Amino acid sequence: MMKQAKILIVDDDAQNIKVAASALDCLDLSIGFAKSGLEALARLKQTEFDLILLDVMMPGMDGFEVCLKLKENSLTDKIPVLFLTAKTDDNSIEKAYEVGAHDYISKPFRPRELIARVKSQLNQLELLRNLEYMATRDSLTGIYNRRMFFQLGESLFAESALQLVVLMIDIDFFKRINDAYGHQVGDQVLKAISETIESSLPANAIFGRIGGEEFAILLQVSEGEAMQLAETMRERVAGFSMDSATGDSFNCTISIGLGVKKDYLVSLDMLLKVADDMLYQAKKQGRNRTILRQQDCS
Amino acid sequence: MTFLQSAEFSSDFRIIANLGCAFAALLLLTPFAINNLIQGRLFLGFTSFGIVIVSGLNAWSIINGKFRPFLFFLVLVPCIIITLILATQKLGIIGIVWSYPAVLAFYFMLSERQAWVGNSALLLIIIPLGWSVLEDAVAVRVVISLSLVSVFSAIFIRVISYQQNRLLEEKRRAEAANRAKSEFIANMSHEIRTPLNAVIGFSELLEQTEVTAKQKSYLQSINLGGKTLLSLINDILDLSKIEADKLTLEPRPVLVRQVFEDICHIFGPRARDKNIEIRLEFAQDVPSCLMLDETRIRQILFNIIGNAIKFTHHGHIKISIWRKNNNDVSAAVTQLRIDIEDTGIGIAKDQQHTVFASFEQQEGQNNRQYGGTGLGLSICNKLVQMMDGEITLVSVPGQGTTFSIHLNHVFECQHDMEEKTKLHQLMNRIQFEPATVLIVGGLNRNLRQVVGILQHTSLKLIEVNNIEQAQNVCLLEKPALLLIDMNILEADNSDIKTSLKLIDTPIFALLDSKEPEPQAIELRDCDEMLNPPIAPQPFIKQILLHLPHQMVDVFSNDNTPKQSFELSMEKNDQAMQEINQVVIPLWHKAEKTGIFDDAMAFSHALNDIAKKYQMSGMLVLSERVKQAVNNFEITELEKVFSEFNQIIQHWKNNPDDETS
Repeated sequence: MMKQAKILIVDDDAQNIKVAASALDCLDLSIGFAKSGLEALARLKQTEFDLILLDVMMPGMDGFEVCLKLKENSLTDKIPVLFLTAKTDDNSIEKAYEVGAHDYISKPFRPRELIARVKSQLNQLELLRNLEYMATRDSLTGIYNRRMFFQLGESLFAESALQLVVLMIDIDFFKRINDAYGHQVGDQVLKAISETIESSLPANAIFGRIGGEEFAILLQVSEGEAMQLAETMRERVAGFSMDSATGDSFNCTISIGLGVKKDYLVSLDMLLKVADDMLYQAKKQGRNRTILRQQDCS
Repeated sequence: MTFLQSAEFSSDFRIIANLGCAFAALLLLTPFAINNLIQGRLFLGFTSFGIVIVSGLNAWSIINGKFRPFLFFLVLVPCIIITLILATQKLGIIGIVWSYPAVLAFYFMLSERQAWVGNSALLLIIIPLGWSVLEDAVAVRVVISLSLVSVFSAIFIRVISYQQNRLLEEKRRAEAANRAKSEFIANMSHEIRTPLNAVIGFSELLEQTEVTAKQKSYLQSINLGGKTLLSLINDILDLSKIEADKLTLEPRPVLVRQVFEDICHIFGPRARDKNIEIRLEFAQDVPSCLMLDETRIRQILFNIIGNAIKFTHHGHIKISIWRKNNNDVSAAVTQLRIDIEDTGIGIAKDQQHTVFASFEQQEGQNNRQYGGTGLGLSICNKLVQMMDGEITLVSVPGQGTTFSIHLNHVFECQHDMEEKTKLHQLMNRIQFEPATVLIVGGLNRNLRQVVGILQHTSLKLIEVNNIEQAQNVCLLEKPALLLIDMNILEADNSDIKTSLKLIDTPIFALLDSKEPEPQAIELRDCDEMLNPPIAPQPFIKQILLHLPHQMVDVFSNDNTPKQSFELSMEKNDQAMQEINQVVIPLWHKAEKTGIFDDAMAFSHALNDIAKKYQMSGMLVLSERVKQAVNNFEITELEKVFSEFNQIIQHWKNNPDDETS
């Protein structure tokens, strides 16, 4: 199972919460409670829960309404909702699934059934999360893969009006490393470099592996700051010594090309093209360097 | 009269009959009136025109949906009179006979008995007679037409009465079905109560055995759930009993004041929790003893006062009892008025009349918000009606509600229970410190009476039958008081105090009623002697001399919890700083997320600091949080949080009071 899942029990009756929480106590869960729909929504805004047990008949806002509100919000729409309610008529069950419930348990519930259903939901959730991870990450380095990088990058490009810098990074003479030390070492180099780069990035940066030894980063910083960041990471990579299988250590370097968002660059591809050109320049000028503008080379 | 009474049952047919008469009169009389006027017969002409106008008005009023019985009779009665006049003038004796059927029909119509007699009489007599006397065409036409009006009316009335009978039959059947349903529910409720007794009883018994704190908390939940269900079923049972006419009141002499004080006492803690004040105002002229069904009166008050507390979030609840006919103090019958005033959420004007209906809660009072089934007030209303009274209410939404119970015929009774009231008041005020009372001679009737007096106190009573058993008990537990039957004491020759190793324990000897002379006993070392019959009050006073106790004020409204006062004494600057830095962020987090583990982290942090600075109050708080988390008691958890908040606020507001 995943690391301690957080489950929120929403019921206006304290005794009901007690029963459900006691039943679930045998699972390794972190249990939270809310005594009304509004309280539940407020708590979900503050804290990420993995699963919600929701009562239907509550004062003010009923369970269906709460569920609808949850599904409207992109932050909470993926949290599975299990209705836990004394209403057992067909209409209510149908409505529960209509508003987006994942499961429906009638009260009074049998504790073992509740545990089994919660477990099954958590398993599904874990599976889903694994799938999502696999679909969006590069399996070797754990950073975004090409598809996710472009998906996130394009929405960021569309959202942010200014201050968007793209960094294209390529490992210098990577083929030589592979040839000299083998693919395993090559993979380690990729991993080590991506880790080194990631550790020097701000939290909101989008970092992805877009080709074999090619990485791209989207930064919401100014030109100068981006240049500084790029230089830092280039120096850190260059100063980092790798170990080969035979015990020799070697250094490897990266070249970086920058692209800064301008009015005439109307798509992410165009911006990347600029950065790619700069990267080419950097390579041409002898590698292990960062190029921001054409003038730099002249 | 019969017609009007019955007419209320089937307004549809009454309207049809009425409309039929009105139109018949309009159609038939209009040409007659015009004809008469043209021919100069002004009296007849104008009279018939009057009838036409009244008929028109009648029809118009019916079409507009307003029935006017008097207009209906304004048409019919003149019709009959004109028929009579005309018939006698033009046809002599025959005319009277001839118009008889019309009168007959009208009569039957009014009395609504066998209208077919009227109808057939008309058909048999009018038609052959009418055609045989054709010389005065106008008069004949009028008589025939007016008679026909009566006939139509009679037919309509016949239909009405048929419909009415059918409706009455339906109503009777519906009522019978409802009663059968109520009886069924009453029986079913009994069946449901039986298993519930096992649930409640055994959960209570089990709780007293060796169980862990967690098991105890589960058992309390079972017990609470069982009790909630039981009270619900009791409500349903009561209502169905009332509807099945199976509930009878059992008026007995009741000490009114005691009932009210008891109820205030019971609701005291709940009111204090919500910071509401309960005031009891008892008018001087209310007789102290009245004939009432105590159980039902308590039930009514419980419901209404319970509601008042439920729907009041600040302010007070005032219960006042007074006598309405106070100018006539000598009367044995009292008109009692009980007002229960609260400062709660109130009831909207349009919902005030529905609050007494079964199964209805206020609209917008979403039935889960305040719980309950909506049966309470309905039962109260019915019970008060059975007591020959009524409940009324005055309410302003947002400001509060006053329920008034008017009991119109309450009989006074003798004050022979005065003594009991005083005892009751006394007993209510005494709080014994925990102590054991050993009673030797459990079968003695007088001792039983003593047990009866003491059993509702906090004293632990142990009853044994002889000295040996008493010795065994004394090995385990040192009683604070010994009550012993004189006969047992006399049969045993040894010194009772030494044989039971109770040197400084007071001993009360209970004399046998047959031997009023206690010479022999004086030699033995008894501290008090009780002569039967035992008067409870002197007995209690005697006991008070020997047992540690406190006298409390029953209606003390001590709103500040003791604990928070103690806690505020523990203020310590350094501890405060640590609490601010470590505990308060954890507390905020726990409050925000509602995650039990977060509350536990808060408890641990508070516990550490409390231990470090020896703050016993805070230690208790942290233990309470721990307990609440372990048992998932969120009500308790929220309560502790709010207490913690109060203390913190208190510290913040009084930064100077350095008491540490």
